[in-house]
Amino acid sequence: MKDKLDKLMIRAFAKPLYRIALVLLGLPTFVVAFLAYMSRKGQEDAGHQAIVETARKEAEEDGSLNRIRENAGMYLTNKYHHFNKDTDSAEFKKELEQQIRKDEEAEIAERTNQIYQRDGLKKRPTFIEFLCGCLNNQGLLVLSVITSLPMYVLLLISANPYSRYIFERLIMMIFVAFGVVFVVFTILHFASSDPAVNVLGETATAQQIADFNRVYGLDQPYIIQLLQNFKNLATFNLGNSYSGNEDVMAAILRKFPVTLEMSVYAFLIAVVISIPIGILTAVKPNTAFDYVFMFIALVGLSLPAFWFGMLLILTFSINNHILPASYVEGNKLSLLMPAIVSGTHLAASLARNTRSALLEVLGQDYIVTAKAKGLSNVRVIAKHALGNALIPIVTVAGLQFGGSLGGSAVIEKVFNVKGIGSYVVDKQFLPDIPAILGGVVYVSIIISLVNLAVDLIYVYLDPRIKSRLKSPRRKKL
Amino acid sequence: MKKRRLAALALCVSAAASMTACNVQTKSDMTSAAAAENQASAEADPNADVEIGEVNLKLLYNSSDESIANVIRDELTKAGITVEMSAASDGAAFREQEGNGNFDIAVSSWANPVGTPDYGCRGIWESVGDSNLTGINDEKLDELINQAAAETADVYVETYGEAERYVVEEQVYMTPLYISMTGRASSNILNQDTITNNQRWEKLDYADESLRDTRTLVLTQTGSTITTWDPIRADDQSSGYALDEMYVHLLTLQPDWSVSTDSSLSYNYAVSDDNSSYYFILRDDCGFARIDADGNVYDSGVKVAAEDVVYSLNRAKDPDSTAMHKTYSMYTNLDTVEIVTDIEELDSVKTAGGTSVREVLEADITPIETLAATRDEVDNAAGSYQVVRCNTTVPYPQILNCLTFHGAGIVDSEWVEAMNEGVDYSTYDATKDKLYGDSVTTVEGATYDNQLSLSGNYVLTSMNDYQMNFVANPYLRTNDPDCTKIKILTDRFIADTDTALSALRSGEVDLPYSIPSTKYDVVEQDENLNLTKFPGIRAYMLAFNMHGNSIVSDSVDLRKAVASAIKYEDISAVLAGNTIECYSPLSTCLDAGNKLSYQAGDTEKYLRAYFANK
Repeated sequence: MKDKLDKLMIRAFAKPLYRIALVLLGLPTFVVAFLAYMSRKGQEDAGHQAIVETARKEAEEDGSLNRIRENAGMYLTNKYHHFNKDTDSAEFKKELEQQIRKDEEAEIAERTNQIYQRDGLKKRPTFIEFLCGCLNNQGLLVLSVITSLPMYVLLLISANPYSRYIFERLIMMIFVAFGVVFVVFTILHFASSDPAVNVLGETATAQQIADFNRVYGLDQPYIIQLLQNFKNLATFNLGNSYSGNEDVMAAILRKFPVTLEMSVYAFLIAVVISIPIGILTAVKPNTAFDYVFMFIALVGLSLPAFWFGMLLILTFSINNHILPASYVEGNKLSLLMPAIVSGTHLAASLARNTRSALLEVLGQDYIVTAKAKGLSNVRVIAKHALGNALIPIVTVAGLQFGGSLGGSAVIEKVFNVKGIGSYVVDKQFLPDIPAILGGVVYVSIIISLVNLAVDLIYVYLDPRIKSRLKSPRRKKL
Repeated sequence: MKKRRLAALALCVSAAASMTACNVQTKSDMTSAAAAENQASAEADPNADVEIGEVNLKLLYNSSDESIANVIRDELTKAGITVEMSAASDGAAFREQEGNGNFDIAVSSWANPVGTPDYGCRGIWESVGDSNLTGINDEKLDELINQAAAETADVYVETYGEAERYVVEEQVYMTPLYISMTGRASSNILNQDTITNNQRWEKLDYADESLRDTRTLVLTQTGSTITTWDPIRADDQSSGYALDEMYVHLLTLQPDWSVSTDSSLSYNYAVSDDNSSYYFILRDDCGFARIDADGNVYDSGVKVAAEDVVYSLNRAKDPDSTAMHKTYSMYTNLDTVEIVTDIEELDSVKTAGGTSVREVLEADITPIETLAATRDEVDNAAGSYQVVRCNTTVPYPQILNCLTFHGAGIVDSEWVEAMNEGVDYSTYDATKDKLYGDSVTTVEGATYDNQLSLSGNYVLTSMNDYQMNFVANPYLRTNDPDCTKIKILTDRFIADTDTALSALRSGEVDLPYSIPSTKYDVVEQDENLNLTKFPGIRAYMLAFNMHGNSIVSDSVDLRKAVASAIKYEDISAVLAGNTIECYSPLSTCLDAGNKLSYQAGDTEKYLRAYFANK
């Protein structure tokens, strides 16, 4: 158990970013250990220095150092001759000196190690080895765990390749969120629009505009406002919107459920329609069946969402009174048409992707082998072909699902769904900076999370990726 | 071969001969004919010999007005003026460009929701007007505006007529484009006679009156971001319409822009003969309604009284009475608001008609016996009334219209004061400080804590992202139970006008706030729907840069040349005829009988004059 902890600690300490994180999270442990290490270092250094001196003396005596000097001179002279350079130059001398010093040091270090081994001396520990040594003491270990719990949590996370991967991605997401805030705020700040005038309207007096700017901090310099936004992000308090003065975080959380619901329905509709069509058209390529379905998919892709939406409203709401024309909170049926419109678009591209991915796999040798083995067509397609074709399909599906979670403003407008998409678009025109920042941070986080989920699905779909993830040398997917 | 060529030649010659023989009038013939006809006027033009040079004008417009800007560009181009188009992406960008004088001509507009001519022109014409962005600075105009403001309706028509003539045709600071026509579509379930221009909800009724108590009336509005239900902190369109209904006023605005005591807190009102004192006699049957934690309306037990009127109006006119005050600029002429306790005053002050204020106030009610100073002493049946007097700094009869605006809604004085206690308005922090009316308290969910105390026709019980829910105020004008017809009402937020129309056609909505002007025919063809058209409250003008940094600033001739080139018919055609011809921004509420007097050929004449004086 303790060995594992030592290994984890040493491995994590070898990576610069982890090292910083460990020191920060386990500050009490590191401070105490560092002080102890420094106090012992003085004595150890003196002992170590004596051994180094012995090693140097031995090397000098058996002519090793002389040999090193000669070899270095010979090697460098040959090199200079080869490149037609002057061996009497200052440059030559300088390089020679450097080479000799380097080789000598290597030789002495080697000999020092030999002496440590020969005399059965304990090697001088590095700081992290020293720390691990200290923690062999049960009492110290418990004390350290109590005072530096976050560090041990981090070590625990880094122990498992999956949790380490997820953790690293989540950390990256934080940087993405800050980056997004920086870029979006900067653009909005330097854009020509004045939120105060747009919110207060044409009758606003100069005094009212000044008041507005003071209350919302718009009279502050750029850098102060930017830092304020960073602070808001760090504290999960995105501030209040300029128009409506409502808590942006609360507004987004209120709008998220309906967007999620719509996206899930749309996604389900898309998957149910597109995967079977994609498979069938790939199995029977270049047949009338294939052409008809791919043509329908093309139509689905090119249909403008607002127009298709209005067509549905005209048919099902106005002419036949089957479904409500606009979204009514709590009425699931009223989400059906927006989900169909959104789902059609997803389905079209998903079907085309499924077809092309499957077609590629169906041409592989192992499919021929599977058929030659006498497997049934269904088995070949379902197990051997589809399984291997899933990666591009999952990629596209994931991207689209993430996109629709970010809100589809047009569809939301047509059906009067107050989701994330229309929220951000409405606020864009003011521009209501806190609301827009909240919206884009939300979208960036959602997209990152969905991508992470897709990457994790890859691991289960493709054993090669799984093994690569676990191998320490190739840790990235 | 040669023969064939000769034959072709002969054919050409004969064709040419026959064409000259025909009596077809060509363009050059026309021009010479017109020139001959206009010879008389041309002779009168001393600049007839002046050559018209090149004129370049920068046309600023809000991108939403692009179709109008295109018409103007085409007309000016036809008149020989080169137009450079400059589109502003939004209202703020437009205002900034206009205020900086970064234009020669601009498509600007002005809405007049209160229907007073003073509001219709002061902001944009007065030298120090808050919305005077085109740089008009004219003492004579200022005087006319101030003179007209002090006059009563029968007199001011002439003064305003002179002012608009001065602005539009004499100095040509702006030239009219159009007033938009608003079409209000509604379901047949409503009694169509109750649908009016500046729609008040309490007037609306069902065709079948038995539905009044049980059926929920569904309206729509476009804006859904509501900051506050405090009448003086709200000015956005989103909450303005609802606020008109949520707080009672001393007077209400009628569809013809006149004021009346219908659905108001007053029995009657009287104006002193010097137009500086305005008396209101208050009803004692109006109470404040409040809402409990479950969203049910209950009686606060507090009657709406003169103390509340004094508090509310003083609050409305004082910029420092709250944080982010939005409506004070409308009440700058309001001087004092006081409770009248001396009954002698009502006898001694005369109205313009020569009768005493008291006689006017007493019309159709139990005669006044005593005047009550506090709400506890009031008993209308026994002749004990409260009378409020508003004095204006200058004679200003149009203050009556301003009192119908939502900023002058009567709030519960003690309740509001108690809720706002402890907030320092000068350091107000929107994220931390809680003020009376914060809309977040009315949103369903965790933050719901409806602390409104409402005196108006309808009580807002709750709202969410999709709608606001109202019930008729049962404690308002209890002696007049029919003052609100429909008892339950929902106002849905539908931003997209096409979606609102779909919802109306599918029967989910009864009366949308607006529908696309291009879809009026759809409504007209639907037998379940009705369309009523009203003149809009926004007038569109072509404004000239008077900041002094443009060629149009210095030359009234050039301004006239541009003005005379604009044809109303072309603009109307682009907007599918849903427009009304106007003369000035005042045309939304007043007709002084002015008509543009430009003739054909005026543009050329004025351009010549411009180049002659250049």
